[in-house]
Parts: sequence; structure tokens; C-alpha cells
Amino acid sequence: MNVGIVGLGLIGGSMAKSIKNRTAHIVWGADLNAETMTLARLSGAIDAPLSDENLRACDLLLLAIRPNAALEWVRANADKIEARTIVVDLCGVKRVVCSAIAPIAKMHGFAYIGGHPMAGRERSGFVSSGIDLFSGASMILTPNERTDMQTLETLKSFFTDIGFAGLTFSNPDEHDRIIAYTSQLAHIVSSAYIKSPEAQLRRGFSAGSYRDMTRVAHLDEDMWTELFLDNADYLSEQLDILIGHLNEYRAALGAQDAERLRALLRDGREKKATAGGN
Amino acid sequence: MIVILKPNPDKGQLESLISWLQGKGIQIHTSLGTSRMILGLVGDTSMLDIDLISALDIVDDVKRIQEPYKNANRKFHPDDTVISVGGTQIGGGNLTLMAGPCSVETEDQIVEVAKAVKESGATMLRGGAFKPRTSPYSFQGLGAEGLRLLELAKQETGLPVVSEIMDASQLPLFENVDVIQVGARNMQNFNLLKVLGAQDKPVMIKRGLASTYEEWLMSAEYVMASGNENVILCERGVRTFETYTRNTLDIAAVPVLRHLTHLPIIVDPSHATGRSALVAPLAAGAVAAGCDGLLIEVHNDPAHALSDGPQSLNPEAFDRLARKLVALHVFMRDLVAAQ
Repeated sequence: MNVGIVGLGLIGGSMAKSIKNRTAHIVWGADLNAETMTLARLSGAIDAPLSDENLRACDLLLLAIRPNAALEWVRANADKIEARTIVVDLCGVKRVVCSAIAPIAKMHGFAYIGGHPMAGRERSGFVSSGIDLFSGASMILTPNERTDMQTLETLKSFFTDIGFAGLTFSNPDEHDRIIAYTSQLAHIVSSAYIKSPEAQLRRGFSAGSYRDMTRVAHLDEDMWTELFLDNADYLSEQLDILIGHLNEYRAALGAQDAERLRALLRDGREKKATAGGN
Repeated sequence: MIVILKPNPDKGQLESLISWLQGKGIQIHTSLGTSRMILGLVGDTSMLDIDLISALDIVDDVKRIQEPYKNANRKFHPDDTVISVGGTQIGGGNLTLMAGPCSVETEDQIVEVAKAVKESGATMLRGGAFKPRTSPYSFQGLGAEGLRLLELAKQETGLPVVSEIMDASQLPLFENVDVIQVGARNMQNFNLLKVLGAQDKPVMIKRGLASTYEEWLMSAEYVMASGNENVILCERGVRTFETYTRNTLDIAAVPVLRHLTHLPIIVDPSHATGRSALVAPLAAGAVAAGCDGLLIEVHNDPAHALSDGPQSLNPEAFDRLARKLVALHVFMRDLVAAQ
């Protein structure tokens, strides 16, 4: 298969490296950063730059750039995408992206399906990418009314070949609602948590809980600003829920109410037990 | 495996799914239910990825079918199968009364019985021409001549006829028979079932003397897999330790099969008991249990019948019974509707 990758940052770079490392597919890549392109070619992550010519020969096209940039790219290049090409965007929000790309794909006749690899790292860019980023991870796909079995079969073998544990099917709305909590809220909490003045005095006073809480505070503010604004409704809902819960703890403390506090903590422990995950 | 589609599926996507499945060598049986379409998949479905099929926009649910019978399975076809035979409908809430002599003996006999049972409300005429008898010294039936006499009775009364075939070679003689019966002893004559599956007359399969529901449904599956979906099942009693009755009528077969299959279920209380006095109570029991019809032996002179006289009703007794059964059927239908 000929795979084109637009954007060779953490996700696109890891896709390129995983494909070259684990499969015999040809990879053509594009990135606005000239240094990234040089690194990608030197490291063998791509076979050649993605050009207007080889774009037409792509069987699969992965868009590993931000939502707005992905839309712009598809608008600018749609007439160079062949009908047999499967386009998958890897953006972290799906409603905005899918609703804009799907009509373009339909008009030009190529297959399009939204995607979101459930893997990441707090550091960004090609230099942070790796062949094992997707090992054992879940790949979310949001099929639409034009998706056929052949496309699903091709994508399933492609993503499992490069290390994913399997596919998770969803729709853009469900994806955005759940991701607002599992990913976006966690980034906001981490970012807000680190702002305490005590954070700067933590050396010698911190261990695993500080590390876990602050890991994703190393975020790329440009990317996350866009992702948050594209999912502002669901994310605000999650923030309100969180603030409501924080206030419960605050009130129990203020009242010196051990019973209430214990009940709040027990409830959280039980919910974690049923939700699972490490 | 069954694929349950969402209402009003996109045509293009449905065609694409069907051609993808066919490309994998899977046979597809489409059932248009009252609310949604179901694709019944037959073949090596073990290599199909349920998650991928479920991910399609038009698909509501995908389920594997554990039972070995697929076409006969109600999961494949949620609505009752209704079979039309010469103006009468078998299945789907209708009560079909099939009546007539065990064996066709003479023109006068079959025409007289046919007229009588029609008058009493029977919608089909039964009559044996080829008789599988336990003893080779017993009357073996009139054969081709019996079928000719049966046709005369059919012309005389307009009643569609059901008669038993014993061997695939007899099929050409059954041209004017409306429903071909496979007897209990031939239930697992798979070659015969395949031959009957390749023609288009409805086939009524009687339950083997010691056959399980699954074996019986697999016989139906043979006919259906060969291309004929018009199959009727007939419970006629099974062999048990009890010798007082000829067989033991398994009335549970009616609700069990109702659950397992969409095919019409007929009960034969005459062969099940072998005693005419037991025909009426068991026929009533079968109707109350929800069967789609009854197969009852009626002879104008039971005492001198050439076969199975002791279990035959005379036309007068059948008349009284038929009227009761029709009333009971209406009563049961209203009772179920009221619940």
C-alpha cells in the first residue's frame, strides 16, 4: 500500500516510523518544517516527500495535523485525491472535522473516515515520535454512511499491523463527549494543578501523585487551545461537573464533617473501581 | 450469523455489504420483517469480523446463530412463514384443517370423504397413495392410481391435496398434488429432502418416530438449503415407553417450535394416538397450544378401512370436531390478542 502522511509531528512521525518498521508499505510524508522533513528522510521514516504527483497514487492518506489545518489541506488538495484513496484524519476532535471533510470527500468520491489514535506523549514533534507509540493502543474510527466493508477491512489490518491492539468504533458526537472527559479535562486539570505557588517548592516533597497529576501539563498550548475551542460545549460540561465535585470536598472540609468527607472519598474509590484503568 | 439492519438502510451501502459478503462465499437470505430487514448469513461465517460489520452505518446489530439450522431459524426470519396453497393459507395465525382417509381406496370413497370434510370446514384433503406400512403384507396403497383418484376428488371439491411421497423417483406422479408430505420414517432421507428442496411445491415434514426438535428442523433445513423455503412441520407423536397409545403426542413441540422456527406447525392427533376416541381431545389440546393446523384421518367406513381404521373418525364425528376446533381457535386467538 502507498501511504501518504500529512504532518510528521508526534502522531504523524510515529505513524511513519511504525509503518516503515513493521510493514512493507511505502510512506510519503509532508511537513511544513524543513528540518522535520530532513530528519524524516534521514531516519527512513518516509520513503519520499508527499508531492502532488504521488498524492494521486496514495491508497491511504493520514492527516496528522490540527483540525483547522486538516480542513484547509483537504479543501486545497481534494481534486488531487483519487476515488480509490481512503482518507483518515487523526485529529483529537471529531465533530468539527468530520462534518467539514465528509461532504468534500463525498463530492470528490474518495472514502473518508474520522480517526483518533488513543496514544500520545506530553512532548510533541517528530523528535518525540517513536515506533512503539501505538503498541497495544486503541484506534478510534468514526465510520459514516459512505463507509463500506472493504474500507473497514483495509483499515483494520493496517492499524493492527502497525501495532494497535484493535479498532474502537464510535461516532463524532460520542467521541467528542467522551474525549472531553478522558483527555481534554485531564489536560486542563493538570494545567490548573501546577499553578499553585507550592509547585515551585515541591522538590523533596513530591512523588507519584505529583508526577501523574502534572505529566500532561507539558502540553502544546497552540494545539490544545484549538482542540478545546472545537469541543467547548462538552468540555465546559465536564468542567462544571468537576467544579461541582470540588465544591463538595471544599464544603465538607469547611464544616469539619468527617462523615461527609469519608463518603465523598469512598464514592470516588468505588467509581474508580468500576471505571477501571490504571 | 444474522445482520439486523437499521430502518430504511442506504441502498448503496446495503448493496456494497451484500457484494462484500458474497465475495467471501457467504449466502445471504433476506427477511423483510415488520420493522426492519434481517440478513441471514449462511456459510463459513467464522472468519467474518462482527465488529467491522457492526461498524457500518446501516447495521443495527450482528449476532452469531448457535443453532445448526439457519433458514428454518426464527432469528433469520422473525415473522411467521405463511404458505399459500390453492387459496388456503397455512401459518400466520390461520387454522388449516387437513382431513381425509389414511389411504385412498376407491373413487367413491375419496370423493365422498372429500365432500364431507369440506362441508365440515376442512381446507385441505389428505389421502395416502404410497403407504409406508410396518408389514410388507399390509395394504401398500394404490400408488399412481391413488394419486389419480385424489385428483378427481380435488376437481370435485376444489380442496387442495396433501399426499405422502416415499421415494424421489415418484416425484413426477405428484404433479397435481399441492403439498408433498414426507413421512416420519423418511424424515432423515436426506436425498429425498434434497430432491424436494429442488422443486417448488410446499413440503410437509412429519417428525421422525424418535427425532429431536433439532434433527427435525435440520430436515427442514435440508429442503430449504436446496432452495425450497415452503416447509411445514407436522408433529405426529414420538416413540415412548407407553404402549397404550400408538405414540405419545408431544404437544410441547407446538410452543417450542413456535419459538425456534417461523415455519407452520401442524399436529396429527390420529397417528399420534392410534385411537379415534383420543383424536378430539388431543386436537383441541393442539389448537389451544397454538398449532397452525391439524391433520386428521377421516374415513366413511372406519371399520372396513384398508389402513389405520381404528384411528379414523367417521365424517359425522369429524364434523362435530371441526366445528369445535374452529370455535376454539377463534377463542384462543381472541384470548391471546386480549393479553
